[in-house]
Amino acid sequence: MPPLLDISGLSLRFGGVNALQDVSFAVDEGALNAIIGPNGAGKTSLLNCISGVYHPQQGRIVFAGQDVTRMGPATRTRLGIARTFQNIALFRGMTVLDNLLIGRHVHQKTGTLAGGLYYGRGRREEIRERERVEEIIDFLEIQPWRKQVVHTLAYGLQKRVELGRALALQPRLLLLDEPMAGMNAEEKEDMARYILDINEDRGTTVLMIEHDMGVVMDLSHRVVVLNFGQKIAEGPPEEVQGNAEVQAAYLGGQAA
Amino acid sequence: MSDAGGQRPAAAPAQMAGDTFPKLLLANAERLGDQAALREKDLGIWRETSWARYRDRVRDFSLGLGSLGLARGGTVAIVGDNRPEWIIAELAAQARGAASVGIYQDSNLTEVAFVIDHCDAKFVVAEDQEQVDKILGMIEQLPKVAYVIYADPRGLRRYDHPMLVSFEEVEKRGRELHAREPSLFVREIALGRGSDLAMICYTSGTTGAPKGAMLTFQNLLTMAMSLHQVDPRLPGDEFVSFLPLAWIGEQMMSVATALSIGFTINFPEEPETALHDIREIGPNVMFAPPRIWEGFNSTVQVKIMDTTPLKRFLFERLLPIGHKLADLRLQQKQIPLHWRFLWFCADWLLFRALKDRLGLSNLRSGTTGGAALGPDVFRFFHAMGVRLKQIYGQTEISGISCIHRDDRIKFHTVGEPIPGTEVRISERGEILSRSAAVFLGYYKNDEATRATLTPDGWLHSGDAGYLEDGQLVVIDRLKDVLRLADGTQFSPQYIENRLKFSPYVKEAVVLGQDKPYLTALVCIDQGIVGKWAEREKIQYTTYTDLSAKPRVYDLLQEEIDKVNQTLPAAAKIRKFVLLYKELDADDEELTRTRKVRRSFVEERYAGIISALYGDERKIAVDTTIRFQDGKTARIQASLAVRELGAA
Repeated sequence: MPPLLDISGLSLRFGGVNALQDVSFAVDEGALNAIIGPNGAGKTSLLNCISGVYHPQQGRIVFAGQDVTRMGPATRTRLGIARTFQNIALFRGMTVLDNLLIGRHVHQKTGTLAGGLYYGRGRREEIRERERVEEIIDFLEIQPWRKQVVHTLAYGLQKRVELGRALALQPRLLLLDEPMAGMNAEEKEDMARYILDINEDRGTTVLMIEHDMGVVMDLSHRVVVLNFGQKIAEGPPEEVQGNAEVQAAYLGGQAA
Repeated sequence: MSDAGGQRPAAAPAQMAGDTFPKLLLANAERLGDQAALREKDLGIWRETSWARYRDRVRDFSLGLGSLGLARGGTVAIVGDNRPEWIIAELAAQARGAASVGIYQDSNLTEVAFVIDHCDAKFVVAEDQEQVDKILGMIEQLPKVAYVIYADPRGLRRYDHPMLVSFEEVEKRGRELHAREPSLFVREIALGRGSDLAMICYTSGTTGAPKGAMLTFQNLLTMAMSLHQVDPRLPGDEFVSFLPLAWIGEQMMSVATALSIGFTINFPEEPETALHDIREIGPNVMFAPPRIWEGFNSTVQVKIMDTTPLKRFLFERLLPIGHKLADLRLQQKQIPLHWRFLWFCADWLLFRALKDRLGLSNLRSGTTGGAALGPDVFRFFHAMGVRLKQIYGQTEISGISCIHRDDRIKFHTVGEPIPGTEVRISERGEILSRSAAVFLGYYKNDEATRATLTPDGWLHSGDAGYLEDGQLVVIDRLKDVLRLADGTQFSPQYIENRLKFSPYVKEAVVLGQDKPYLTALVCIDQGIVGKWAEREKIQYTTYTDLSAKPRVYDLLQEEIDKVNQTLPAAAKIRKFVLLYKELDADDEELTRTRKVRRSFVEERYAGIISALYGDERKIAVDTTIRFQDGKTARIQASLAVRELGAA
């Protein structure tokens, strides 16, 4: 079976800076993989290339057998790529429920008129979308905050809502940019459980950037290591952990 | 309330359709058919289970348990949050002639393992992954367990323990068995008797291992019907089940009373959403411990502080009308017409809106139990027209022995015995009770049973109390009651709690063991007394300074006088001092849960205490206190000793 996501020879330059150089790797359907690397290694740039925010100068990105390299973010979203951001990017003034419903918007077929009149097909669709969103609310256990405005929620909860909005897109591939950043031990544990459940129970393929090595080693099936825009290692976590070049990249020393 | 007679009183007349819960379920399904028996909020929507469907689910699960080997006389342990599956599992076990054993969902591993093993359960019904993990983690210590049945499959997909079975799977087995033997379920139920063991209720003792109180259907139904006679519940009433189902109080409402009357039980979406869900349902009947009522009260207080000046103005003008009317009503006085009219206006302008916000608009029977509720909170609800009542009882008497009567509510009592219940006070001052609701004994613990239950059926409560005009007053746990030198009993904790009901009192320590009279060390609440002082234009610098002000002494003296009025003549507080510092857990004067460490305080303030029992009017204090950052400060103060009027 071909991989769900296949990246080959990806290079991204900003002026004279080589953000990514000839990066290739693949993510199998159903995998839970991680991208790690020191600060400035190009992890978020890579994620941005996959979600369509950046367009690489060289290389190809194939998603589900389709070349998406030249597609915009919205098109990729419809194909099944969803993401969360390092800094929460929710509609702060809207409720949790509305934020999640917006995630469903790409799947709605009725037009502005039918939806606005809330009659017939538009109404049936609204009800169906609300059900989908309620399932996600249940899944992420955010029922107590359903009708609360997002910016009044604690940081850890906002992260969970953002994950919920990405899930509302019903992605085949979920990109998570530092899902645990700024969380306390308990919130991290909860988030780890949600990510596992998303991967195992819902069968969604997950690719995440994470700095917490404990989380990466425990959760991920495979790890890609970036350093200065280049892939320096790839493999199962135990193998990568023992890699001398990886250790050098993290400790800043010379490869032995 | 006679002392004589060796026989237990007869059971309340059973005008019911059955003498066991499963029989009542069958009758209700027949009678009420597609009316709502259970309602659960799921995916944001209230979803109903009709009485007929309730019966069918119990039938399937019960037959399923049977096909897995549940025998008559067995036990089924159940652990989890309040969900329909909880009581379906309970009734399914009982329909099969087995007893249910509820386990508190927040119990730790050792407690869960102890109860499951002690009650000899072969089946454990667990709500979700969290509970399953607890049980599988201890499975080596649970040799009697054969099956762990889970209701919520979330996260359990990758588990392949041989004992794990899903709730659905058990129901499916039951459905298949029912198809083969359609009369089996009804036959099994017909074998049940009112005298059968319905449940074992484990009470978490403060010391030692939990004890399992064995309760029969007859016990539970007697209690439900006796309570119903004095505090009626109606078919069609709404009730929200959000307190642990392992607790007898919740069993009494959600199972015993719900089945005998036929009203609807609503399960909240999540424990955290319970208060919000209560508002959506607007229950007619509510039974909750004091913390819930206190929570309602403080929600209102906080919201009022933040609201618009107009609303705050209305609240401050209209609430006293409610208080006035509540006081008149509680004193059983005639209510003058103009007060009725004023209350009517206040109700329309304020109370209706408040009750609606809290979800109490439809409340007919609101009760509190388990601990003391402050009189101010009590009065607040009565002012709004919510006639909150106190309930008293033990697990061993199926939950309830006393309740306030509608027209005779006194905040410091727990009401009068329910019909068919006798209450008396032993020579040691202990509350004893006797009725047909008294339990069979503790499961596999005859020693504890003998210590609790006399041969002629009197139940020892372990509580000290006295009767006042036919109403029971609970003082404290018997073991915490102290004696003055002349032998008069008093409960320091009881008096301290009453002192602390005053907003000005932060902490209080009542002393008097082997002494001629009672005294109190009182710590003021700096925030509130400070505000009061500002309003009264009293200048002060520190806590020590504030508590030494004569006007502050006057204020606190009034508060203590109020408490003294409710105390028996021989056990009134005679003298008090206001301490120069707050009691603090960092100084080891309080435990981390803010309980006073009596012996430590007595030792530390021995000088002050001996002065309280001398003739001095002033105590010179010269002490050094150490702050957390290591700095020290010397406190030199002169504490006044106040003597309260002898009357």
